[in-house]
Amino acid sequence: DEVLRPEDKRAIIGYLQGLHERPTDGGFALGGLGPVSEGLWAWIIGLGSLIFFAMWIAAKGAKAK
Amino acid sequence: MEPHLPRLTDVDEKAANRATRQVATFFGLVPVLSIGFAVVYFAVPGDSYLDFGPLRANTRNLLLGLTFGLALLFLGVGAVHWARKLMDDEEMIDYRHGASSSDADKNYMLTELDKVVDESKLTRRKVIGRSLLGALATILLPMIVGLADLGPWPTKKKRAETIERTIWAPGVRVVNDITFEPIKPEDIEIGQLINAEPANLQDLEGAEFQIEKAKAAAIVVRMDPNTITIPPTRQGWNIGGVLCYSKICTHVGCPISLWEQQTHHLLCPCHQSTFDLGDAGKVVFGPAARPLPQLPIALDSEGYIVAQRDFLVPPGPSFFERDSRHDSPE
Repeated sequence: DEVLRPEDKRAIIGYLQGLHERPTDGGFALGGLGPVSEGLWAWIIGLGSLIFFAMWIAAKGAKAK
Repeated sequence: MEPHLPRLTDVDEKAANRATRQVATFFGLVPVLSIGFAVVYFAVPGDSYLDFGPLRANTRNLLLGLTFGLALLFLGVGAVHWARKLMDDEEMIDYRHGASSSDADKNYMLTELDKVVDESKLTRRKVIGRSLLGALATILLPMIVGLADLGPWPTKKKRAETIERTIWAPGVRVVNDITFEPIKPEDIEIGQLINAEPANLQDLEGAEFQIEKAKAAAIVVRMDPNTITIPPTRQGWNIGGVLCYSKICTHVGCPISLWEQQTHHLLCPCHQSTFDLGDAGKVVFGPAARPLPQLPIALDSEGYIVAQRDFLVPPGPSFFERDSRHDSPE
């Protein structure tokens, strides 16, 4: 208690709780879990759609019969 | 080359018209979305939030992103669709020539080179070439002299004055980091870690303050005395279960703060060097090459913790000029 006084601790807790309650402008936060979960979505959605577009562009398409 | 196969849209006029309509639709949506972007930009208030399910976003930002993003996407999709379905797709062969130049070009090049050497008169008047070489070699001297004077040379004496000593001295109080309040061992709980500095750090300012703080930063930890081993050479460096170690990791110099109370391990966040503070700061994991230096402490007449002397080994990252193989207490 000598290092961080109780009122200091209360002030820090109050600030953090206020932070959590504020709405963020950052868009879809993906759960806010950090780089690992962001990587999961990047690989699944991001790379998945890139692969889809690549395959679509290069595909042979309907041929005349 | 395999034979060219016509596409459906090449033979079937209805399919081609359908593809044309699709491309025009994609392109036609782009102005709609672009104008939508402008409308959203001015009409949607900037502080409204969409909040359902997992989505919790600023409405305006979300709509701006959707309109502009889809506009760009449809522009691209329309172009790709046009290329795939309607543009001519006849294969063609493009012949390539060999990589090296023709013989005529090579010979021309060699004769030109010989002419250049002749015309420079270097071969006839050799002293030009020799004096040029001497001039080019010595023009570097001013640069070398200027660069060599940029800082102190790392001699043994310089090392002893700078990286091998800190401002810790006999009788200097161990005080809290920012507040500089002195510490009494009774106030520390078992398992607690206090970030500490030498009290005489307050006398310094500016660059000198930062430099000395970076070397002298320490931590005071309290452990249950029955759970730690104190080697015979370090008896008396502690006050019961209260020990003082350097805060600066011996790997690359990050200040360490992750204190695992139960295991007595101190974990550095940078490269995960782990020191066992219950066993003379021994390295139990990670890239650190030598144990965490321990600061011998004692009590002064008023009951506050003071240092007995400076660190016995230099704190901070190991360096080549110092053999740290014998740092561990035996």
